[in-house]
Amino acid sequence: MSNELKQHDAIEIKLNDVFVPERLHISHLSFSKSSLTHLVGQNGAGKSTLLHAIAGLIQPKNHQCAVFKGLSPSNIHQHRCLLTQDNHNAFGLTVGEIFSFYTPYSQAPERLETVLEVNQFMARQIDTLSSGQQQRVQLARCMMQVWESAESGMGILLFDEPFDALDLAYQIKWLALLHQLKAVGNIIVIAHHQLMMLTECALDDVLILQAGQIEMFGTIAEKWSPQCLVDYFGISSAQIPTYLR
Amino acid sequence: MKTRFVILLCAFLAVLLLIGLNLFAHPSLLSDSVEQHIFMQLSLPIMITAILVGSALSMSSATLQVVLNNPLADPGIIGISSGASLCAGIVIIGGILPSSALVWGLPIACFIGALLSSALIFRLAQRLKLTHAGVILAGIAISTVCAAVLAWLYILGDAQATRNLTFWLMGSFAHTHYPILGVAGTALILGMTVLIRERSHLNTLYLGHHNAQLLGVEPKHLTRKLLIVCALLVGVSVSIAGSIAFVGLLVPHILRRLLGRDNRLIIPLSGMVGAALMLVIVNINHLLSGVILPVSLLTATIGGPIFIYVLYQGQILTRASGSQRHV
Repeated sequence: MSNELKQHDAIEIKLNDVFVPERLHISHLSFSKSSLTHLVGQNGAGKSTLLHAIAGLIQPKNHQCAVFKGLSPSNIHQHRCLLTQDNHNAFGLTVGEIFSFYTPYSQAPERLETVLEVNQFMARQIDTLSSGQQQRVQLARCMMQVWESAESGMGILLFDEPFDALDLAYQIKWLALLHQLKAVGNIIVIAHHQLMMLTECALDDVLILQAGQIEMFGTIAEKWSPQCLVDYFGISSAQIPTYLR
Repeated sequence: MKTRFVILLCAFLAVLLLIGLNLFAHPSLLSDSVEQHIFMQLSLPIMITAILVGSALSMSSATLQVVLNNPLADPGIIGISSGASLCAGIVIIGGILPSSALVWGLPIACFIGALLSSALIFRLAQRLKLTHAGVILAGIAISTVCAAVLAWLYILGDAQATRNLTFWLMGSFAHTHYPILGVAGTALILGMTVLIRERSHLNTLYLGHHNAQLLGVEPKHLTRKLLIVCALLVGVSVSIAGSIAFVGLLVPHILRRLLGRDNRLIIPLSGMVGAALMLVIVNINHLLSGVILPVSLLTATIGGPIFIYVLYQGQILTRASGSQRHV
């Protein structure tokens, strides 16, 4: 399937007239191949809702929500993944069981393992791991679902608050992996609050949401400045921390 | 290791079957027509009922636990069995159906009762955003209401009808016969087949509906389908064997602790172990010649202490209350 898609040179996301009452209102938005977008905004701005709309978890009022050129609904889960914020289970699943139930792999592929180092936890129940270790496992699980497509540049990888509980070393290594995946053609969207990362990723895109509407969308180098914090994040010029200036 | 366990279990089941046959069959079975008649008309239906009901209750519990995301879910505890028992009580004491129609009427009535109580529990779990403990409490509330209505029926019913009703409250394999087994057995086998076919999809529900949906599964459709099938299995089981406690809770729970959480293995094995356990109960009942004990008395006697042991270890409660996850 991936080869077939390559011939059409085609994954892209287009959203038209997405309306979720009191949460999201977008008239037009598109993400192209080889893009990594940082989705930022205040709490309740609609970041998770937008990711859910792209992932097909919610069906907005009209049916023009997300169009994935070249992908059919029956195999889209092999190309599109989303890390949600709620991944708890009541049964004490082991890491190995989570991988086996949710991915085509029994353990993390080598390239992913080098970055996230999760195969050592295979026999452990996930709720006995630290929050950061759990987050690494969930990141690996999410990416393994679409890993074959992602390696060939045909993936749509969506992450909601992926940096939560991750220590700095893993944040840096994982983001570097995402940039490699971006370079081969994948579409990546990350919703997060780590605004200091934006200055380190000048060639990525930034999308600022406020009250469910797009306030800014473009390359970080061109669009992002400390003034955005004043305009869209509800803080005054005097409150801007040094590391964000 | 798992393959070896399955083989061992098959062997165990076969041994139990043989023991059962041996106990019931008199050495003169082949030559004595009276013995043959007793075996065919009394013993065999009891064994078939035990196997079907044990499998159905264990498999439906294993499924319900995942669907409700609650390792404590059991048709008896969360009120599905009591909904079925109540409908059976209404049919029997109310005299709604002629006795000739009970063959098909009772399974249908019990199915409707089980379906209504399952729908109510699921709706409560969803709408009120109940936690794990909340689902159990909702189940207890539904059971209490059903028990209260049944108690009123007791007072209002005549002596014979109330004696018949006692059977539903205690559970027994000794009241089935081939006509009702034909109807109920077909329904149970069909229901169990659906659960076995959906067992790999069930694995995708462990991390919630969103993660299942992201894998291309339709969780709402799957959940609705599985709840209806579980209600069918529990309702029909109640219609032929009454209300049987603890089997559904214990069997999947112990299997998960021994073999992990993979439903591709747990669902069919729950069926086998549930059947084996019920055959043990039948054998115990046969050994106590002259006294036929209610099934729930035996399952509660065996299951109660094991359940307390499990609770004492905190294996269930810490997970159920610790994560506080909403269904």
